Amino acid sequence: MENKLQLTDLSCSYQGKIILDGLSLSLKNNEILCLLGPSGCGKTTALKAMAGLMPTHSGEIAIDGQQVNGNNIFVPPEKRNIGMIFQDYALFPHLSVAGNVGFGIRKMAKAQLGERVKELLALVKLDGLGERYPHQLSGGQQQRVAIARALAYSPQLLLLDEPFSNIDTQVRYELIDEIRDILKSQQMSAVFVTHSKEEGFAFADKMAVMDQGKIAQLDTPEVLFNHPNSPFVAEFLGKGVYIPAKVLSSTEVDCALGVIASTSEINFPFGTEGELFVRPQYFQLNQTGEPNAQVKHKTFIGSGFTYQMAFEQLSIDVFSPQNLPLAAKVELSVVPHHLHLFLP
Amino acid sequence: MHKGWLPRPWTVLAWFAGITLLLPVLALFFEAFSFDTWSFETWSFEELSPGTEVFSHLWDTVLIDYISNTVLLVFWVALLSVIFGLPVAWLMAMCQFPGRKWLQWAMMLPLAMPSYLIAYVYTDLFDYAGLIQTSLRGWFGWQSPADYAFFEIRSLGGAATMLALVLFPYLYLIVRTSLAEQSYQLIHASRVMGCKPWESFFKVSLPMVRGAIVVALALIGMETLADFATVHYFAVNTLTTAVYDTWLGYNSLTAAAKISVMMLVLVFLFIGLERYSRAQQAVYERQSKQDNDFLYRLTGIKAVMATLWCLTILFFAFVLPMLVLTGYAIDNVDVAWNSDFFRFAGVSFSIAATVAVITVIISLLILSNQRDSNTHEQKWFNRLPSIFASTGYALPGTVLAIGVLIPLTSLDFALNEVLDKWMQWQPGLILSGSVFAIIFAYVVRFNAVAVGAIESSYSKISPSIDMVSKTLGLGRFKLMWLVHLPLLKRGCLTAALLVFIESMKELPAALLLRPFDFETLATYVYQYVSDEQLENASIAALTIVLVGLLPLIVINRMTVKH
Amino acid sequence: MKKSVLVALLLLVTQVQVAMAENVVNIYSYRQPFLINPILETFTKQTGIKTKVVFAKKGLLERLKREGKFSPADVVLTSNFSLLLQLADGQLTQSFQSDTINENVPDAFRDPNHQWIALTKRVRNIYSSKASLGDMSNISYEDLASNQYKGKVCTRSGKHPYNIALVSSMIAHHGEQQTKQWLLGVKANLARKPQGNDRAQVKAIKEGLCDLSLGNSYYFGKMMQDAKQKVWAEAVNINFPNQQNRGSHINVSGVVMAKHAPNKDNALKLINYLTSDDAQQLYASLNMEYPVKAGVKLDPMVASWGTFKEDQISIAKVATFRIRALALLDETKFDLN
Repeated sequence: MENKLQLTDLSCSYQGKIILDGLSLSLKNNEILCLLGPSGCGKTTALKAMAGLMPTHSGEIAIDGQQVNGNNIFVPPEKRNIGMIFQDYALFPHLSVAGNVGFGIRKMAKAQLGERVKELLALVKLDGLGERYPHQLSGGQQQRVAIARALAYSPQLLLLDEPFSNIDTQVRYELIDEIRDILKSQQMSAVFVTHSKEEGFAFADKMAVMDQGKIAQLDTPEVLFNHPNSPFVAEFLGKGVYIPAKVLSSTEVDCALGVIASTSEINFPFGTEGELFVRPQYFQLNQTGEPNAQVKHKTFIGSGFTYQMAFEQLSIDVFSPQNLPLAAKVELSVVPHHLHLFLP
Repeated sequence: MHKGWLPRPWTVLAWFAGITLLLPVLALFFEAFSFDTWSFETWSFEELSPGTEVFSHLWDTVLIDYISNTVLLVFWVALLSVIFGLPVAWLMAMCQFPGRKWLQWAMMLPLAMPSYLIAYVYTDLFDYAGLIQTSLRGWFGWQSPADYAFFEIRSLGGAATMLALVLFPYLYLIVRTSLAEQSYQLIHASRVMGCKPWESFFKVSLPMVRGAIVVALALIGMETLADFATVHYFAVNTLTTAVYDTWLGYNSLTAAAKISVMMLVLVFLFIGLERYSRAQQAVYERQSKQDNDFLYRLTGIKAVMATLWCLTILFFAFVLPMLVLTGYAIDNVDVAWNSDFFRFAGVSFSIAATVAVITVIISLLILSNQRDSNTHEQKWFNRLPSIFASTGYALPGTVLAIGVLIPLTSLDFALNEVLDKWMQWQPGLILSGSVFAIIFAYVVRFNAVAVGAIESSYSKISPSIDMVSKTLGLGRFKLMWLVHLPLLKRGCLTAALLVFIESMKELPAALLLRPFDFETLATYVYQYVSDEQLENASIAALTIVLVGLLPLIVINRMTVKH
Repeated sequence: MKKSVLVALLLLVTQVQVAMAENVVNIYSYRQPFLINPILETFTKQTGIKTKVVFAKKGLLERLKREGKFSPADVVLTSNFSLLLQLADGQLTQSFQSDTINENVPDAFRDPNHQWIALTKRVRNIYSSKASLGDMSNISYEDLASNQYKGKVCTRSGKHPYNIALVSSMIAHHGEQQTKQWLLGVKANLARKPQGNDRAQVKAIKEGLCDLSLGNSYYFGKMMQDAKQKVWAEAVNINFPNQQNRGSHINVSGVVMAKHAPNKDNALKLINYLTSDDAQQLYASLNMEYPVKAGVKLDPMVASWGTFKEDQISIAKVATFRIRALALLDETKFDLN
């Protein structure tokens, strides 16, 4: 199957600063890809380059096998047939909801157009709001209008720039699920930019973590979380602590917390010394064991507590469902999981 | 807080200011429709041919022409201002191109050019006897007007072009600001939905700045209505001509008032349009722009065209007239130099500065009261003072001057009577016979400009700012002083500077109201312009423009810093 | 704040007071300062009385009326007779007379009720192109409407006071109906819509745009003195119309004493001076006008045009037709395309 979108060695600079630095990635049909990264990593620039809204320096972009950037080719945004959702939705304030949704539809009879707009409003559950103006809608409703508008003219590819950042957290994940279902039902391929890993986990089929204009790692959310290929990716996807460790066997390492078992094979020769990256949920606190760590700080987070534990010179974040008093001395240990070791 | 029917002090003050500024207009109507005030019975038209009344006589003869001329003039000035100003505003707000940085403020320069000067200069150039046509005849051997076709500069089209050349910066300034506040994302959104750049201009940018364009055109329309010098010089007869004719020629104040009513209808139409558009504008301005980058970076032929377009307009609206004036000055330096200039310039400057400060204070008072309205009715009610305080803008200078004289002389008479009884002292015409009259007239005339500039600034302050201040225990005055004023600083400064420039140029009101031996640069220049001998006052004319430029430089520095 | 307002008010008051206390004469002038300043300066030099001037082309009469008994104006200088009569009829003047005036100004140029006097005369001339028309000394105002000059006539706005006065005199001589026909005839002959001032018409003749124009006599002399305008004047002949019959239409500039003049004595001194040989001589030489005082030497150039026949109709009679003249100008849409 041909790739929906192919970026090859894309570079882009602005005012002498390199923003994209040899970026390559591909997107399959009906796939939702998330570009994730801290601000300034170039993810929005990459999105704009795909849309044709940002000139590129070198490299190629192809949509549906058609080259749109590179080799002295530049297809202007209006000829790329893509849909785009902006952070502030970019609804036209001078047009009604229906006017906004119908904006991108060309060459369609008026009656037909009305039908199509109605259909789309129904799809995004905004039936009957066609006559309203954007400023009369809530943030979530505006977002739905933006989605309907982008889907209206059946683009080949949908680009979403931080689409959920202005939505209340309470409804955010509901909306994400809903929109994901809509995209899937419309068999839409999409690229989605965010700085929030939770949004990415919930919305995307695949994720690309970006760092300084490059892709650090591209894979499914689970693989990224469990098998980060670099400390940067590991840290960006969640907290953790580095503990010096030494490989004992293909399934064991040794460190200050004792011998830890891995549920998958360790790809380093025996005796390799490195840093073991352990996330808070893989620690265990045992009140009955021999105390080796002390509770310095605790925070209630609903499903349990996060503790800051003092262990030797280290300060370690630990998640536990147990309620321990401050200054309690307990035994800290690591449960067996996919271990990832980074070489110094 | 305030219950019952007792109005708040601020409201009372705002209404007082509004009505004071409306006084000249009120006085004219009162005067016109009350009998026995005009003592020229033997000179009235009615007396000489019984049964015919001046107004219906005019209606039967020339008034239709005057009305159509007026409407056409306003239409053409508006259209030309859009043609000159809109592309420039769009280029400055959206594009990067060579020279943008300095052109951005240079495009304001024509504001400092009085229309009567530019009219004079262009007539001198493009008239049949002017340099251009004379040279053409020389080159091609044409003998008479029958040999070739050339546009008539002294025509409605010519007058409209002159006015548009000096008034378009209003449109440029207002629309540029509005465009700059538009989120580029909207343009981007339209682009990915299949719009070419020009399509997204017409389908997205233009509809969203429509309100700003109307606001600017309302100002420009009122300036055009008030203009007498240019249309008179170009022999274009408008309603303003009719007012002068009926009043000073036929001695019929009644007919003049009737014609003024027709003009006021237009004025209220403009003010109404302006108010309505501002209300719409407020809705559109919610989205703020995050991008500081330019939407389009123009290169190659497009960049050259952009720069060239701006330079061409700037050349005709400012550079060429300045060059011609400078030429006059060099040729006539012996007659045109006068050491009294410094004094005249000082008088012009201090009057313009005083007027600027007063208009800003009055506008702040009126607008802050207007803002503090809770119910719909209250809003409507509190909007009236700002409408009252804007009507003077469209009154032709001499009409305004006489309108100012009526209440001021009455006040003087009352004052003298009181002082006479009280301490047997009659000081004379303290108000109408002093600089006070001129300042009052200018304030009436230009308050609309200040209200406009400050109001657009005010609308950008979120109402929650007021609420939070009130919960913090700030009273009306402290709210204004500690919160609004710092936020309105730019708006106030812009207002003050625009009023300053306009006051530097304003002429007819000063001519009629001035005390003895009172001379401003404008009145000095006018005595020569009125005799078509501008050459002899060319240095003074240049000085008017140059002093007017000072505030433009300040405005520029302000916008750059921002 | 209050304090500064009070101080400002005091300053204004004192300023007004000073203006009244000084040895001055206050002048409202419809004539441009650069025309009258040299004469006023000589007056001050001779008498020690200072002159203060407000110049405006429009509305001074209305201002005077509004100011009433507190008006600071002592005299009003006008550039045409209709203003003189309007001021008098509006009861804005007071009677004045002196032996000097009676001696210097002929009866015909003094109001029988002593409300105004004329100071100078100016002729409404017809300028003609030297090159295309040659000698036109027999031309009359009536000829301007003649078919043979189709597209050859230039004039300033019909509603300028000088032209209104001429039209008024046409009504006085020929009646309204004939004057209307005449106006229509002139309008049909116009080379362009009425515009500019009298000099601009001469310039247009020089450029070949038209062959005939209306203009006051003194402009010819003024143009001859101006380096740039001299060539315009040299292209035309100055003609005194209607020499075969009633004579050329003349207008006057003049002066009135304001009804509430605070410096009455000084005002009279100024008026006396304006009729004196000195002032009349200055009017003649500086402004190329015809002095009203007999025996004052004309400017050599003005003298070179020779003597001419003046229309003897009374100014007051002509002035009564002013409003009718305006109405006719409207009816014929003289100033409109």
